[in-house]
Amino acid sequence: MKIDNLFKGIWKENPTFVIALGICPTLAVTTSMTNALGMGLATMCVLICSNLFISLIRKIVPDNIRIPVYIMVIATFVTIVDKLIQAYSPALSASLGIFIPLIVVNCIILGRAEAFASKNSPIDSVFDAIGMGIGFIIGLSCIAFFRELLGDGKLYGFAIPFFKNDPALIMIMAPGGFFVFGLLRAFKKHLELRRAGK
Amino acid sequence: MMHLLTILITAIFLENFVLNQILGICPFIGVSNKMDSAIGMGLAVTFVMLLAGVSTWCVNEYLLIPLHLEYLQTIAFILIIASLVQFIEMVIKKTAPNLYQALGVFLPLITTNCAVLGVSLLNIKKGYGLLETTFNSLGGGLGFFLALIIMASIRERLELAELPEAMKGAPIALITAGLLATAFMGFSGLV
Amino acid sequence: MIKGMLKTGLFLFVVAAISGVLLAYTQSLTAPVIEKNQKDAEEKALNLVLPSLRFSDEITSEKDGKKITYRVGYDKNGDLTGAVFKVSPKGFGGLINTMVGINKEGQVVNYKILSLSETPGLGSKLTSDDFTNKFKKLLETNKTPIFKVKKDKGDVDAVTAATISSRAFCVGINEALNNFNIFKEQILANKYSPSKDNKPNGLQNSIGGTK
Repeated sequence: MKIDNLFKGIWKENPTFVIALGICPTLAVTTSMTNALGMGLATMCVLICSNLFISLIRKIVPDNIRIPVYIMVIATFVTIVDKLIQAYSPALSASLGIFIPLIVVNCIILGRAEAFASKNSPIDSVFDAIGMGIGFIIGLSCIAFFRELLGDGKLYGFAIPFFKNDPALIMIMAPGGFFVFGLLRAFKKHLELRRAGK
Repeated sequence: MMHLLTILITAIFLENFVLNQILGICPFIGVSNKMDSAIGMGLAVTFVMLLAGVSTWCVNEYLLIPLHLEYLQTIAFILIIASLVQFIEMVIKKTAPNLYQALGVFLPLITTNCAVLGVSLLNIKKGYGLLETTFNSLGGGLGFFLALIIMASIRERLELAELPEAMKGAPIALITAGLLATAFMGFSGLV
Repeated sequence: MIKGMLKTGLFLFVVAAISGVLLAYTQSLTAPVIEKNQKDAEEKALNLVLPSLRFSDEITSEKDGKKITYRVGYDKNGDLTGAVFKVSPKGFGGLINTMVGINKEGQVVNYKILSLSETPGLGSKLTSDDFTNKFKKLLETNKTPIFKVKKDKGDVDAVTAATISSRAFCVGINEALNNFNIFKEQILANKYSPSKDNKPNGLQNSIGGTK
């Protein structure tokens, strides 16, 4: 039961590809694998903390003000993560820019708080957060893999032979994000359709 | 005046929130399949972005900075936006029931639209004054509105197109958005 | 009714108070580290843009109503090596905070971008080795380059697809050069004074560290 909460976010309910939550960071920061990993980890930290905390207070929060309380909890953890990144990883903070504070409005976090943490025990909620976080990192990395490889000829900043000559720069610009994400979504749907057809 | 106009034009076309800065994609993909709802959402977001941009700027300038509480920026801004959206909803409901019927369902969604928090943070980051903030927020909202209605009009026609099964829905919408974003890149160098 | 409102209000207040305390604590922990990071980066950058043994503190000069601040460097004999300016031209996504070193002959020695908010992967490449090396080569081969992108009939190779950022960068370099030329006399008049400039300033550590 609990183990299932951990794994469902990774594949069956992958936040990026299945429930399509938090698309903005998915497209905006996936210009390199490093950025994708940094963003994914930051989001996962916030998700774990907020899920845990919200699950702990789920029985005492008055129902009519639960959303403002959740937002406040999330914003607090986002600010903490933002400050920690600024202090201990200035380079990452410089390359992710305002997308760190924007984690506040990432629908994944409020979505999991409302849909899962407000109804389940703290341990289950933490498992859920870890699974969703890993799923998010995988989703971001998939997109960043194609974008960095095709658009910059690199992976994690290391030049890849063949691809590094004449990279298609458009892939790391805004349109490339839409293209890669659209095609990956189509590919996933194609797989599902084939499986259903059999 | 020219300077302010430049900011407005830049925010609408060159740095379009949706197609260039990639902010506010969820409603952009989610609400763009019908023209009516696209217009409603676009108007609501433009309105909220303008008000939120100006009020967060004022709070930051006159409250957070004098008290050296800049570290509360994120939390203060999101709370302002959330209460603003709630407040607008109540006012519209009381004063303009027709408008409320058109916009009502979109308002609660706007709180988690990252274009709104995005414009507030960007105004501060770019070091804008009050007038510049007003124009940048307005431009950001209008840019969102423009992108949304262009997208909606394309998608109404896409409904009739013959597509491979796997491409239907979100995938083709994303690819269309990519082509639109490519077209918007042509605006760079305009100002 | 009123009791219910009081209760929800109190609850919100408690949550806000806890969050405020947590944030204040985080701020007190991280603020010094963030400040130190910025200072360290600046000390390192100073030596990169104008190799010198020591640097003065910030100096303010005034002329014809124009006011600038800069720092000057000294070599091991205590002779002035040049001046370092901080400029912040407006780029595509915001200000590009740049440090520019100019030697006493008025030539640009090097630059260092302290922070920018340009598009990741595009304008942000102003900090890449590729752009830096090309720019350095230009400084070595051409004693009086025109600091404009090639599109504007200058000598600087723009970052691909980031003309706005590259132009802004050139504006910054020119601003520093202008400042130097306007205030040349005052800058060159600075004298090394052991009492004021002799304090170890982190630079010595970095020299020791590279051995």
